[in-house]
Amino acid sequence: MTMSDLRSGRKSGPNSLGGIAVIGRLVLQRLLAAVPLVWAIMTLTFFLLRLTPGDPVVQILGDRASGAQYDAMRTELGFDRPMLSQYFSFLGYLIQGDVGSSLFSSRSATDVVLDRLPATLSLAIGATILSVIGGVAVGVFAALRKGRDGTAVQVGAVVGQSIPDFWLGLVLISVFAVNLKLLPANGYVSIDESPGGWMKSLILPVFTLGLAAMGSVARMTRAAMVEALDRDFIRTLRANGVSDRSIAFRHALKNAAIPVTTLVGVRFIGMLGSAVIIEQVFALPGIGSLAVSAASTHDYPVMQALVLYLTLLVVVVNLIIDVIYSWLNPKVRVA
Amino acid sequence: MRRKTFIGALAGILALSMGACSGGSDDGSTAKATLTMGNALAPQSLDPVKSNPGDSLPYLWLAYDSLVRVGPDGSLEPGLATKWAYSDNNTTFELSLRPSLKFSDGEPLDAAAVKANFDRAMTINGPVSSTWSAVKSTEVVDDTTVRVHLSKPMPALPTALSQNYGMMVSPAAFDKPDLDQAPVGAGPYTLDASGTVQNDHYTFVPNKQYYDQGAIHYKKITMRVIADFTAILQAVQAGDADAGKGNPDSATTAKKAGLEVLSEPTDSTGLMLYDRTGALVPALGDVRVRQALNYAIDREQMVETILKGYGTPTSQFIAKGMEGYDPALSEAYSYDPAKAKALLKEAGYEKGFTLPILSRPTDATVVQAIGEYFKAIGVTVKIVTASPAGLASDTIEGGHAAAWQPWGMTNTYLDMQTLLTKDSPRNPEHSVDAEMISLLDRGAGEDDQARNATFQQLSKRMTEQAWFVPVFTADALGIVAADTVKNAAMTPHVIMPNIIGWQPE
Repeated sequence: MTMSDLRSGRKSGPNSLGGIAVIGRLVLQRLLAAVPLVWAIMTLTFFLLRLTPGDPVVQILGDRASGAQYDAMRTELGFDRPMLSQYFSFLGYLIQGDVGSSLFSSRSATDVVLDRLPATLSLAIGATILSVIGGVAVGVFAALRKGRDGTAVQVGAVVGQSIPDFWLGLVLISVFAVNLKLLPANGYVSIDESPGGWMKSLILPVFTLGLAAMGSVARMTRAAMVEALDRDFIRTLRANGVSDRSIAFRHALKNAAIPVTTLVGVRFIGMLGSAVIIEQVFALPGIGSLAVSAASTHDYPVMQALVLYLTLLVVVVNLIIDVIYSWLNPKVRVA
Repeated sequence: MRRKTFIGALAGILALSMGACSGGSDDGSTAKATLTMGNALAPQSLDPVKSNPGDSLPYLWLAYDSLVRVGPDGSLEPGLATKWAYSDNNTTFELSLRPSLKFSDGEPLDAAAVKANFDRAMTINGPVSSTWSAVKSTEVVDDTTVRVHLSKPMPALPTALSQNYGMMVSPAAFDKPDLDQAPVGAGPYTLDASGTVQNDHYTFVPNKQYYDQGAIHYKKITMRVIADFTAILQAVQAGDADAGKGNPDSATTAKKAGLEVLSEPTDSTGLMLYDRTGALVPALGDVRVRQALNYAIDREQMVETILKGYGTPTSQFIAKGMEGYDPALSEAYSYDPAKAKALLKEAGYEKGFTLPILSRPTDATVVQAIGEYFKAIGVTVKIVTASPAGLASDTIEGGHAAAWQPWGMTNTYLDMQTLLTKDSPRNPEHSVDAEMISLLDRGAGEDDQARNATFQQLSKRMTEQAWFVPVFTADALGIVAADTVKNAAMTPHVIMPNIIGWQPE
């Protein structure tokens, strides 16, 4: 490695052909491994749903139907068949990518779920971007200024991390929507209906969901930066006259990015879970609120479709994290 | 230097987010000829015979109107039909339509179309099918007159025709696979698919074929689904919605904030004593014990604390405004623990007994309060939490002596039919009282006035036999921004209003 390489922060590897091949193999391996994973999770969900007490037929017909009506509906939906036979026909359709229609409408369960993905993804991706930009900025600031400012930022990060999100959401709504009337109290506008409206409908929920993650990203960034700045190679760079800014952002931050990336990935998946609460508070039509309603009405096909897409989403996110990780840290690729 | 860069970056981020705040205020703000309403639930289906009544009704009424309308005082008024009458001891029913009605797709809504709808209803297995089970055949008398033949006396058709069964679907759309999402009716509005996201918001625009164009007051009505009552209230407070469904907590807050609160008595709540035969809890087999339970509860107090005053105490199962309601019976069991204890003693349960009560997890505190009242007369309550399947599902399965649950009423005959007959799902322990059944059957064939008297006797019998411990009738609540809507009112006997009559301020 030459001195000019060091100055520019370039390392050999990431762009080389060998690196790309390794990453390609990683992607392929992960996708193949996802097949048995999806099968196992879908099977588990299938039986768990049917072993949970509750009859979708009562949900469809209410409590004023006759016994004959319930039986007729059960036959119509195929619920009178033995469970294993139901399972194998479910599996047969699943292989063709079909999880069936919602029990409460003529729409395919896949469509019902896909309708809900944009709101949840906008929310989770928005909150992730906020937590990365805000968290890294705050973390770097705190790492570089070790005095009172640094401590204040750290305390702020801990507070941000500890505020319950549903409470924060209610406070933000009452300030920005009910009192100042700057933003809508709740609801979602799709991006193709009105990009401005989409943005406005997401500001409060994204901030609510992203704040805690921002706090933990800030703390992680600060810790990793402090550690990186203490390393020998930083001293060498400094002795060679590399500027403070270049050291902080090109060298120390890139090193610190490795644990932060892992954290962001874990946080993103966690956000899909927290979305259940945020979507309720802000009345967003996302997969969290769909999961609540589908579970309470025993809409089996929609639950299956939800679990399928969430599993795939988690697989893809983990894969993206691994790719970024191996790009940041060539050692991982060799292993 | 470093500090300046950082502050610069922060300022940049702030500026960006402020820009996002102010951007997009261009939308909205045409003359307020639009109405946005917050509903707690989405319609189960927009095909009326496949949908439950209750929360689905306001959506369905916009798209379909109904043959019969419920007036502000709860009486039945002409809708798409102008008049109707029973004959042959309530086994024949005749209905006259307004002339030259049309569906939104341009098809005629004449007697043939009504017959087609009535016939279709006989073939569909839906949440309200039991209402239609007495219909034997239908016939077209002339262009605007339809006759319905019933297999037994059934006095509830006009009520049924004010709800789901009075909503006419264009016969040309019967086989449309997406009828449950894209209604084709004869109501004042039609669903605008481009402004609709199923289960989130539904946009309705005027139906140019509607017979009374003067009754269309809005260019656009948006029905939003907001599951949380606090969120509905916040949407109205923020000006995002003009009105919405409320509950006692949100209505109390709304009133303090200067919003208009609409209320109309609807569902009652209390203890269903399913085990009147005493098979599960022997004590319940004794009428004196069931009466003692009725005397043990301070209903006024329950209304104040649980409903924040939005309700009425009652010890009568049949709700106010329904056939057979007798005001005197609502106070039949005043709060009297001493009398309750005396009755228990008489029945040989001086030392009390244990009563398991099935209830929803959300009702735990209410049932604990009931438990305190019962403890005072020596009866120990064991709370049985409903399974995730839901209370309805659990009770239908049977094996529960008592359950704390709400009940709505649409029509006394229909409701008692599903409540008192031996094999009805709402009578899971199959109790039978010959007198109740004979009064119910007698009322079925009588004219309105005689039936009301007969059903009052039925109500008396039910109250005396104490098959239930009714506690209160809750108000259905609506929250309205009074400066944007006039003529807003709830519709009697349903939990959601028919908003066709609402107008912009």
